[in-house]
Amino acid sequence: MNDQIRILLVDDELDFAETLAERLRLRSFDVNVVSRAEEALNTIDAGWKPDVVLLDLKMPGMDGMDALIEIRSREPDVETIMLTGHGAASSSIEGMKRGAFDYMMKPVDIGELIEKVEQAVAKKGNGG
Amino acid sequence: MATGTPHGRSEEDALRQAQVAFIGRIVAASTHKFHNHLAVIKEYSGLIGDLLRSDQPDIRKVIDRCGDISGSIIERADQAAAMEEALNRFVHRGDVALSLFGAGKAAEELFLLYHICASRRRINFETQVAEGVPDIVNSPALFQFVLYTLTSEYLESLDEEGTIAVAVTPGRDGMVRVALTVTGEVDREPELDAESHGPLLLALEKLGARLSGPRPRGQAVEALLDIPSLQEE
Repeated sequence: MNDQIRILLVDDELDFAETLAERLRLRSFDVNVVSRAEEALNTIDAGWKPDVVLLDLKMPGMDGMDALIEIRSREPDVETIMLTGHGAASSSIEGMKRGAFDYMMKPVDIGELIEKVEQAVAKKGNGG
Repeated sequence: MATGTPHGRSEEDALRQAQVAFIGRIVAASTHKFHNHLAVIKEYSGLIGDLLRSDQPDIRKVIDRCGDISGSIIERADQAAAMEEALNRFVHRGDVALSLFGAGKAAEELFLLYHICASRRRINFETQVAEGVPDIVNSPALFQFVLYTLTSEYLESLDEEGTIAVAVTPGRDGMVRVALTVTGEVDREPELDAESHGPLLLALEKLGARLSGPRPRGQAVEALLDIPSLQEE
């Protein structure tokens, strides 16, 4: 299914994000990594429109929840998967209520993550 | 004897609750960081597996990359181990009600955890201990709680180049003087009024300590703590 799916990965833990991105690229995904929510919005505003955003919940500056709302208002058809640490399940559920496609606890299983990304893209392809 | 508060809770209970909340915040921040280390280690390990299974024709390149990743795993494991050690020392401070401790060492421990937990903010933490500072016989956990109460607001409000510094020197009459200085821009004024800090006042009383400040001093904010030591006259 992966027809160069574009993923915007937003996480301030850059070692985690860059390594996950490398693993996704090895599987032929087109991945852009940024470390702050504000950079993610700038990337989208500059015209790099992702199919799916992988969004860390807890970041300095604008947090994942506020970024989710901003992304949804700019690009309603871009699906977002929230990435969370432990103890953040309630925030993740709140994210779902605010329009996130799904959420995953870190550390993520790469197989499960790809499955969710592809489901998100399929939903997008079906017009939500 | 403990006195009642408007909420019917004793001051002792309020202090205990504030100390538990303090420890909880430090432990929660540390375990979150620890969780991040594990998540990164798992991704690195996964990447090694991916590279070894890939059909990359240049084996030398794969081996070199795996070697680099292995080094990164060791670095992360070392950071996690250092954090675990600092956290372990910190929680053991609460094991005993009274012990002999150095104010500088106890401040250093707390600042190390601040640094680890807040490493994405570039706040500087400095500790200076002069020669000949006598030890304190009291509760080091209570001392760390006082430092935390005086500094925690700044962790959120201070800009990324700010400094939180503690200088420990011998004071008068066998007291230990702890000078706490915060330098840098704050995006909002920390609330440090004494009335809202009942637990702080009780902790100071239990330490037999006198607090002067916090007050502005030049570009900085300074608070002075005088705590009785072993050599108090």
